[in-house]
Amino acid sequence: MRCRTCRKELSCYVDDELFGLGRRTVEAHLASCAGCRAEMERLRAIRGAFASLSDAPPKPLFYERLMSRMEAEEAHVPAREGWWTFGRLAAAAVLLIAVFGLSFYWVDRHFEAQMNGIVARYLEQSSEEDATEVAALYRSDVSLDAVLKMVIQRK
Amino acid sequence: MSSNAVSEDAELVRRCREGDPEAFRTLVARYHPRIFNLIYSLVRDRDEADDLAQEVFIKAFRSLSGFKGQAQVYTWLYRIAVNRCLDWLKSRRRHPETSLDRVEVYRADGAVLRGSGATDAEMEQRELGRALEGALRELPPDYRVALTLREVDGLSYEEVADAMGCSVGTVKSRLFRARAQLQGLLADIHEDWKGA
Repeated sequence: MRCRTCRKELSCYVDDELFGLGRRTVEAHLASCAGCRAEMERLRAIRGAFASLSDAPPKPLFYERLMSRMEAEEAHVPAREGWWTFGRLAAAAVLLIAVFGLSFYWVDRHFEAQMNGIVARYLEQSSEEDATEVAALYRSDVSLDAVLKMVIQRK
Repeated sequence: MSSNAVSEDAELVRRCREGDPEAFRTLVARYHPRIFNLIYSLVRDRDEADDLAQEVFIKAFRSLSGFKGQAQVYTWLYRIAVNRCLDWLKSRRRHPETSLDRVEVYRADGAVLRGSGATDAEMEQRELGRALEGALRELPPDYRVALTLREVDGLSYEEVADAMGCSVGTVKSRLFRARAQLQGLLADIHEDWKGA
């Protein structure tokens, strides 16, 4: 085993997380390599240094402070929730109005197209005199309803 | 953990879900010390650890309906805490803080250990602790957390992998790199490590 390979495994070895053949191979190399043994000692020294880290006791009254914080956070949530609900309702209302408006527009245009179709067929099928009169009326400001009435009466 | 303790925890969680405030108080009292110690070992700031511990329990309270009991309660809280600490460390890395002068050493009663009255051995230990804390701060968060869980909490590679949500191979790699970097950082900071 080369030193470079051994040193990659030393971290696991020091942690007792290297087993079987891998462990035996590292141990055999360590027996004959002062450099890798020194590296192993450095890793163990780092482990030892962690013992110098101090603990800190928890701050007192944790539960009481936790409850205060949770209550304070919940006190803010309903207002935001209210605004969010209002926003959603407003958006839904706008969407409904848009959908209905478009639907009415489409129905209206579709109806007008159908009525135009009826008038056009009448003009094709009627006498020249009748067609001229109806066409003139159609092109004037008279409503489509009035034109249709005349067409229906003459049919 | 004994099967009795596990079923007690399951019962506590059930009662918490039903809105029993005493059940939540019991849960907090039971696990707060360990969760605080874990967080403190990772962030090394008592006030921040306290704040983060609150966030962990708040998140746990809000996620109770999602806790299906596949893991033990402590394991579940532990994962929430580790993830929160990782996020905190990453955000701190973007906004680095200050010096080792803020590093404090506490006595068991919560008082800060001052220079006067400390023995030479205590002072030396404190200096090494400060050097190590300074070096740990320089490590990437993932390396720092993996190394702390291993060295301070004594978790196995598999347990570290489970807590961090990664593979055992990733844990090995992080520990290897963390230790290599730590050696270099300690050599820069602390006399005893120069030439090591």
